Amino acid sequence: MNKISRPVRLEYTNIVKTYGKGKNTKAILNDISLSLKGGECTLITGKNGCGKSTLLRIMGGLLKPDSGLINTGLHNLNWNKYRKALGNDVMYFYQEPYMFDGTVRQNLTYALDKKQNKDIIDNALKWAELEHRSDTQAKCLSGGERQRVALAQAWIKQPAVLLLDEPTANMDTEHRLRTETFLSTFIDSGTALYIASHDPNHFHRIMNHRLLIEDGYVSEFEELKATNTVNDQNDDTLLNDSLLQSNKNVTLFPNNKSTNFSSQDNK
Amino acid sequence: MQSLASTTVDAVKLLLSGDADIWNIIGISFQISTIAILIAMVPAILIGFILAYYNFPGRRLLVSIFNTMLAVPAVVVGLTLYILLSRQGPLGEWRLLFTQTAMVLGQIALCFPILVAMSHSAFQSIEKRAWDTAKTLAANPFKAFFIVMREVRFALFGALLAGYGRIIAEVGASMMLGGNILHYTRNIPTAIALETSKGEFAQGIALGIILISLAFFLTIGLHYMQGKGTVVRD
Repeated sequence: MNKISRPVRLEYTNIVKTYGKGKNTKAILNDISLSLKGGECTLITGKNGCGKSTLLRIMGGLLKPDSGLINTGLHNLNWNKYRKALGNDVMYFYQEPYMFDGTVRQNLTYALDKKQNKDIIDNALKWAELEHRSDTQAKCLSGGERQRVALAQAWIKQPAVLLLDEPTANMDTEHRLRTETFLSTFIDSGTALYIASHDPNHFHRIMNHRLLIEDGYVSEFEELKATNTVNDQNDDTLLNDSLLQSNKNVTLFPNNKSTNFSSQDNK
Repeated sequence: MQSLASTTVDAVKLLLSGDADIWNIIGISFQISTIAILIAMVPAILIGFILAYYNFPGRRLLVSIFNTMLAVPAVVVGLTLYILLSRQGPLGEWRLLFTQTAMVLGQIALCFPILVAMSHSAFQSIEKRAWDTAKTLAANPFKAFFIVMREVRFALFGALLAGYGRIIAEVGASMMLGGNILHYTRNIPTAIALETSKGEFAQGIALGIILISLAFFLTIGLHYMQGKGTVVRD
């Protein structure tokens, strides 16, 4: 099996996805090509129903496209083997992440690898500021807390690719910025981040690229200044940057996996 | 004919006296039904899972077949297997007719559609997001399957209880395939049928008490499990 090497670099070419059959066929994605690189954040934006989520689900290996190619830099991957090749290296989260029956701690356990020490769960709870909620039923959490549980799961798994579908929808500015801060940890650690959002102005602190999808095509691709920082003084919010700055000191990934790819990626 | 009350008292005395024949029949019943449910459990739950989460040609037809099989009477299942296992039948060489193995086969055939249909509906009842999230969290598809299975464990346990309740109380298939041989293939339902036809109501009621008690405890267990499962809904 061709595993994805880190830092991750994937090229998706001519992705096509349609739904329905016969006369009811509707093309969601028409010939989309894009790339994904470790340590960078890309925002996919567009109107509701334009195919943002479909694209993310395809990239996450959860949905098979009608056609398209993927290249890892070394190999061309068959779509049927794509998910297996991604293995533990990709994580996809819904707008409202699904919480399994059980406590927050139990939900984090599902992300744990056999080789990992269980102490990592305590560190993840601390990182996501969920220590006080560790024994709470996960299904009882608010939307923002669910997002943090999902990010804590990602923090444990240290994926090479993190795909988030509208992670800050329905969040107020404070919680959105807080989430951006958590996400910056992943970028700093070399994870390739793809975020779908209907609002093109969100995540501007952390994004390197922004692509607009219209009628199933990439109608705009914008390369932005890669700052990977969350203490942007020009933010249109009135929030005190101390919140952002304090969170900037969050712990990076818990074991040497991160140092492998972050160090290479920063070269 | 004795009154129902005095017959019931005799039946209880028979049970408490530790009558070897009675307890042998009870033992055979539980042994055969437990083996049958254990064999059927794993493939049936897997099929239920596959029918719920994978789309393939013929999936709907399979679901319809399993749902139809729920309504097939035990005696028809018994008859079909009898024809297959009888000396002149295609599987006659196996010489399984009137053995405990034949009874196990009959009970598997009876509980399998129940387990498939109920586990399919259990897996369908949870959101697609659960399966996608399990896949994204788990290191491999097996771990993802177990995460989702844990999510529906109460419903699956309910399916097992329903399947067990169906096979331990069925008489048609056991009678035809087992032959009601004392100390070998005579189980609770076939013994009740036989003793009643002989006018030995006390033994029939004693065995009936065991079945009713079993049904009671299965129901209590089911309610307990369902109660455990009622956490805050998504």
